[in-house]
Amino acid sequence: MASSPLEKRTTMISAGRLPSSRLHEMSSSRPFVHQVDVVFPFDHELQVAFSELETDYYTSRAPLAEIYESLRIYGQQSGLASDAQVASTGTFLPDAWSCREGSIILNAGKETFESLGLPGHKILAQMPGAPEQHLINVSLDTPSVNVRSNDFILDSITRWDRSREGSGEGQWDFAFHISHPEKGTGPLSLSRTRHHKVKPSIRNLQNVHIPTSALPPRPNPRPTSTRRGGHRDLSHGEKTTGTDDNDALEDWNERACELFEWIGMVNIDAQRLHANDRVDPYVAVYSGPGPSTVGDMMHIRWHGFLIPQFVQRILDTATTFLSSQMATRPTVPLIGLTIHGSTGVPVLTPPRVPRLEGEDTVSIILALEGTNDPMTNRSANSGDETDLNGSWVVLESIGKWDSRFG
Amino acid sequence: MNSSMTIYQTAILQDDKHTPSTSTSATATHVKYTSAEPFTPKFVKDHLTTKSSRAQALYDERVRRRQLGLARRNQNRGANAMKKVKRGVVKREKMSRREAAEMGMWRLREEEARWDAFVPLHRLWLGYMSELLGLVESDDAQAQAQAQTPPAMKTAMPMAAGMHAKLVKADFHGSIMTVRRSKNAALVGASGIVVQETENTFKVVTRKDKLKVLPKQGSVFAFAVPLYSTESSRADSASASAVAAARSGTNSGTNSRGDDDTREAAAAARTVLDGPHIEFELYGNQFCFRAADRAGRKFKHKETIEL
Repeated sequence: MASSPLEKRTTMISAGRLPSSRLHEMSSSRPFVHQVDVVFPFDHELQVAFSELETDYYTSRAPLAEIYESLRIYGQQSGLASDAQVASTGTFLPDAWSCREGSIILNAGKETFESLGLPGHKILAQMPGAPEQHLINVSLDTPSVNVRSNDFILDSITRWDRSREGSGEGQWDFAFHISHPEKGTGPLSLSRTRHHKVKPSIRNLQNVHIPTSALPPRPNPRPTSTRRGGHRDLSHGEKTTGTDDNDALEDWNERACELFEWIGMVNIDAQRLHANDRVDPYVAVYSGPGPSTVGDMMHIRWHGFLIPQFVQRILDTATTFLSSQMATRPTVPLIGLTIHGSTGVPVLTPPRVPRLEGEDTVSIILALEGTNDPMTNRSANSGDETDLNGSWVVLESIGKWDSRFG
Repeated sequence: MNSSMTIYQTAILQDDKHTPSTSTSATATHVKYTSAEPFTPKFVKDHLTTKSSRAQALYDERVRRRQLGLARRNQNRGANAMKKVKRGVVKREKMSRREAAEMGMWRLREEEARWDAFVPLHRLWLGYMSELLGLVESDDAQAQAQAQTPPAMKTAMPMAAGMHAKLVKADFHGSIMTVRRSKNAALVGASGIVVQETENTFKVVTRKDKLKVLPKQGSVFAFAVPLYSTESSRADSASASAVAAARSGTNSGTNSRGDDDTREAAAAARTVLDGPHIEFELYGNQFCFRAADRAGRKFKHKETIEL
């Protein structure tokens, strides 16, 4: 059976120093996450800190009209319309929906949108090959003048539910998280939902190759046009060494790719990382980023319906630990985080086509700079303090029909 | 009269046949003709060389029943009339579209756009549909249903498949048209009685007494036809109203009169959607024709008719 060719991916890499507001915005840019992986060299204190991070969510099945009414009632009663985080988990795309920050986002296919009668806009009109889909934003609060009344919205959604019943798709499977589950009514009530507890799953990888040096600061490439009209001003003593800077950037990019690949290998517990791996080169050829040392790695995974606040807690735990190491001897030179976004859930911005086989992954490397070999310096130079700075590198990867990067 | 008699007498004297005798007597023979036996028929028949038995038939065929045109017919009058029309001398009988728009022929004033004012038109359309589709009477259908025989049930339910060809050419003025699907989200759900159908639009009056223009392009409409014939129900309602009117002249109770009026008003306001009906979908993209053009048009089968 011939395998389908890999679809085109778009990646963006960015770097900076800690602390950074960019990392605080990372979780909010991906509101629906279904998995977070954290890898780091073994450290008991950090392991305990991550082990304490738990969350929960609920799943249920109901018509969308009932869900809509329940969300409106929940928002009115609790006064926290933006507290609820709900998303459909069905597989009958492109019809999908999500709810966050007090509004429901409906993603409707061509026929569904033509029969709904709710105003929306076509997404990705310029994307070749993308099926026609429309995004509809319905506020749970009192609608504005230009928006249809709640009765009309309810009638439209009820018609949608009826058509799904007729086509065999049935009711909607959805997952949600609310701060006050006792105030949920209808399909959001505790009696009609199934509770799921998200606990970290911890895995210890022994005797694996661990890179000893992280990434240096990212070199800035020499701009090709610094002045208007394309003229370069050399009065400030700039040296015309553009080629060297571009080479340094290229080397830096290569190093970054190796590190991210290594983090991915740790996430899947690849055998190639083991120190005693003796694989036939005909089967696989892989060499980790060097220089490296052999040690133990921890892999912690959270899987489920994860809200942005919980993802941010994981990120803050990692950055806080690294920051605490700057004043003392570092034991963990780097921490790798991988956030897997739910691509089958529609979001308002940036618009994208909900796809089950899509990709929306963020890989983050948090590292300490200022030391070449923190793993050897730990035992040899005991008591000495090093001048350390925290840095971060983020690699974002998205699939096709996603306008996150334009 | 004396001159005509003189002529007759002169003709007879000159005719040898009628000369009673060959002698040249000085006395003339007088023959009298009356209106019951005039001169001309007898003269013609007597002078025919054929047999006397056929003389009467020949006279009737060739003389008596022959029509003679008194006025000369102008054979070039049609061509001359067309030339005059082309020159613009003769005014067209048909009003142009611009003239109709300027005069507001098809404009409905706001106070005229009332739902209840067009319900009678809708009732007329129901009767038209009943006749066009050959719907059965509801009493017959119920009787057949009570018979509880499968063939009877099938005959009571009209064959919807055979209605399509007739509905495509039918007139929809008076029908209740609803937008089921549309590329324009604002049109979905719009419904009303069709008061005018143009090539590209349906003009409807909604239940809220609003005149709406529904473009045919990019929309899928839905309309309903009654399941049973409404002809008998209209007759019944008419007779019921007549009986009620007669009673009202003799009945002294005002409450019962009010109840009858209310029932009559409710019956008169019933639409096709208030009773058993069959609903059809109409794809507007394929229906962009005038009603008059659609009557004679042949609709070809298409692979897809999506919006």
